[in-house]
Amino acid sequence: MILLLLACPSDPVDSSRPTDSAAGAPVDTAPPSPPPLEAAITASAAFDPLRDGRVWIDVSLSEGALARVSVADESGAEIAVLVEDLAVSDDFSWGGRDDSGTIVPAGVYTLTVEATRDEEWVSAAVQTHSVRLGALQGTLGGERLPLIWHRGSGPGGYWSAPVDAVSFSIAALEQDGAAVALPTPWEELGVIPEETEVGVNWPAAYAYDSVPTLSITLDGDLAGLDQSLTAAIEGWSLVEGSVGVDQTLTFERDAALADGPQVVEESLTLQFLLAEEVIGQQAVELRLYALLGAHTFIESGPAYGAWVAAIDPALRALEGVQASQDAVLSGLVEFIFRDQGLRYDTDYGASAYVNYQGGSWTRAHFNFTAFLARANGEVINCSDAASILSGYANMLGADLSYLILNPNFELNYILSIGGEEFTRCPFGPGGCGFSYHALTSPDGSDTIYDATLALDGDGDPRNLPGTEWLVQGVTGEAYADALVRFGSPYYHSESKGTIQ
Amino acid sequence: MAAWIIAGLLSTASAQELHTGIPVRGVEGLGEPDFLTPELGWSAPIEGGFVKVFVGTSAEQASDWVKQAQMSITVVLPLIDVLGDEAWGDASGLLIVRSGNIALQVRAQGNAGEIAQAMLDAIPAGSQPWPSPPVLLEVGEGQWRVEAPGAAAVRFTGGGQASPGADLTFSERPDAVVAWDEWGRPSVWSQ
Repeated sequence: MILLLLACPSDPVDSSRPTDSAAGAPVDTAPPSPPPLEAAITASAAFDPLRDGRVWIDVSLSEGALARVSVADESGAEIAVLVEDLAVSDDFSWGGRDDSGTIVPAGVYTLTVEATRDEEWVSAAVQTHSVRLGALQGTLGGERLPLIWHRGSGPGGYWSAPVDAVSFSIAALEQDGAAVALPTPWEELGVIPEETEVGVNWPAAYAYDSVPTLSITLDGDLAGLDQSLTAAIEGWSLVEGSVGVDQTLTFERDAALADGPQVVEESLTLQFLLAEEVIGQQAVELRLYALLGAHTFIESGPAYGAWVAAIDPALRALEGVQASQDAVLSGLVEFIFRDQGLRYDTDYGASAYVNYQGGSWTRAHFNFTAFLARANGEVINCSDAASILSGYANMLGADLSYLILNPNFELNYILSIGGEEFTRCPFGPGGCGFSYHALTSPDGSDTIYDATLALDGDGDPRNLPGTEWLVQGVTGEAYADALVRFGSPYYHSESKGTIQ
Repeated sequence: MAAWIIAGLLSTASAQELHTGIPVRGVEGLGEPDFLTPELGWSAPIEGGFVKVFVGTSAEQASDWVKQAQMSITVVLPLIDVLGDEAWGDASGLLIVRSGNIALQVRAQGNAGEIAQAMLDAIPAGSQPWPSPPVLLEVGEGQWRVEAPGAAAVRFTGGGQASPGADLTFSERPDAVVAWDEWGRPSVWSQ
């Protein structure tokens, strides 16, 4: 901040003016003369008018003065008049627009106050820097987990952006005199962004207890400003780098990402400061997926990991559940059983999305892509439900396998997914049993999770009425007792199968 | 319903003939095909359901597929003698049919038999040679590209695509590449 004070010479001291003195001095009978005319101006040293920056201006005036405040560019040309006939000391701000409404380019600008009173005139001036400063790109770091974009149709299959790839970027801070905003997180969960470098804001995934970092590369024009700037993001700490054009700043989140699995949508404000004053700020939006951990599929390859289109709705449904495997699996059972609009195939119990390859119970192949699009409809069977449940679970890092319960058995009362009432004959009279049943377990068959059906939990599953008992961590023995009316099926063929 | 049963009996090819396949696009009522694994074949949505189709290199392969298809059906389907070399289920909601080296499953809302018949009717006369496998070309240092001229679809396992675009260029060599021709026949390149 530079303050210039130009005193007008037309303020002669009247030498005949009486002075207050000791006894014997002449007595001044004229009215006291007003204090000399003065005007002063202070202003912010820098601001970025494209990013909410304003010049904060403080003008002080002598009593009785009238002032005019104007702005001149580096050539001395007046580009804006901020105040006419200012009669008292005041403070106000300038957003960096000239009198035609155009935001001024980067450069040094002189703010001048000119004050008059009677025949007196005085002026003062101060300089400010219109700067450009902002993030051109950002990269989320820390212990990131891969995210997979599945391709619903067309050639190819899956795309997983490298975990160290740029998360968001723009080509330039400014276009046609306006700020270019950073892109918002990519919203089309089932569509792979075609653009790889500019204009895409890729979400990122972490274990829920990870601490993300965000490295930001700056661009701009500081117009010769020679004072040190700092940067801040609320809730994040600057751990590396200093503010400057082409510099990279690394921030670290102050707290772990989340208390449990959920979608964390952060609307951050990146602020640039000179001393304590914000000279510009930029909105940074992030979508961060807080998973239980890395995926728990056995298979490897481009399809195996967290699919954005799958985990996004699942994590939103799970928000608030504890960060434990049981809580996640139980939450997923509810999510699938209640919220997905799925119905059991009460005609045939036919699978819509799962096939057992090679006639082997351990080689279930789940078409998750088709399921997400509901390509084959919403009518499913137990193989579908088991693969849907285990597919979501393993993507979120909750280890889960499917297993088979057979041979043929007759049923106690159950409530099938999408069903309205308990029945022991889901396929109608004479259709009172399963030739097989697929379900899931994280531990062989000790603990069962099943989204195909709810058991009758009133202690008497052989008779109505039925009391809904979701299969959320039921012991294998209790599950079989509640499900099987006649027959001696057994659990076998534990597997995770394959997905596409 | 009788009409399609009679037509089916008349038009079904013999088990000895190796059918070319069923066009993956062009059978009325079938939506966009979805290609699974060479063992499983392809599928397509229909109104109120879906079809699954397998084209094997022998009738035995297709017969195994029929057994495999029945595994993921909870009720036990009856054998019915209405269509193809073998048929299971019913002509209304769920029908599994094999004709020679082709097998298909139709899950429909009342017209499974008609759809199955339309699909069998779409099998072209004669037998065309099985398509050649796709070729994986090394097009640069650590870059591969799939060549599969005329393929209706290409799928791969393993490896890594070089970009999120739809072109099949890889920065990490895939384990296997499957090209599906217009008749739903898979041909496989593998390491």
